[in-house]
Amino acid sequence: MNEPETAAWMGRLVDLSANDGALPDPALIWWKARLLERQAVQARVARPIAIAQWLSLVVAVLTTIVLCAMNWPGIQGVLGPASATVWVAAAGGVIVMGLALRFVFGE
Amino acid sequence: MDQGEFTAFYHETAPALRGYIRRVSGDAQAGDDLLQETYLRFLRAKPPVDDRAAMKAYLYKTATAAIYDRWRKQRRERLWSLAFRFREEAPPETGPGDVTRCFQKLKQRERALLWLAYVEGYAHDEIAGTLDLNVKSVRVLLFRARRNLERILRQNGLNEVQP
Repeated sequence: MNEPETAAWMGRLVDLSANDGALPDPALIWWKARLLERQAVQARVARPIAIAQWLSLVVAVLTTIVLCAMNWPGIQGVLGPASATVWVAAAGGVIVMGLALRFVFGE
Repeated sequence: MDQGEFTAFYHETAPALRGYIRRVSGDAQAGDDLLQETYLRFLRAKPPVDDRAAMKAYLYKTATAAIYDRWRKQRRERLWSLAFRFREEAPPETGPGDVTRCFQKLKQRERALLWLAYVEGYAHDEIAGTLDLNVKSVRVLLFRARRNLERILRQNGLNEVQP
């Protein structure tokens, strides 16, 4: 197929595209773009806060681990003779804490 | 770019761009979504407004990227769907005179090449810039796209029909 023939076939496609209905409103696209831009600016501003939240979470977890390690003999003394109920309650507490953290930090 | 400039640019470019998006993506339903996505990306990028031709080239480059992104996303989704694993997708049916469906049987890049070359009248270097291709390979790829279009038209009994 030579170039003029191809151009003619493509012209036929363009003719078929001519009745594709009304175009989306440009004003809507403009305001949506402005809105997305504003959201991006807000996200940029809020980024240090989000980072600080994650850092505080990491510090809290590390501190808990260090404190547990330092007081391990005492903890062992408490948990050693504990029944299954205490272990289930502890596991439940951890799950609730996790869900609470997820709820607080969100997103 | 202020709202007035954007509206004028939109009315100037949107009808042809919608044709490009619909034909290259092969998805008439998604055409308007992709059109909006293209202009949103375009506005976010804040291109210089003094060079109309460069703006238009950038718009087509953005549209092509949006089409490819959507295609990749759909491919990922299909890979994970059970329907894809157990059912072969039927190729679109064609009938005499259905040049649109024949065009959709070409590869996405071939559709984009043919549209940019023969509808938009882009030069090879402009096509290369828009589709992220080597300038030298555009000539070869266009030749192959033309040959494939001819083959598909012939297979569907359209070679005897005058375009």
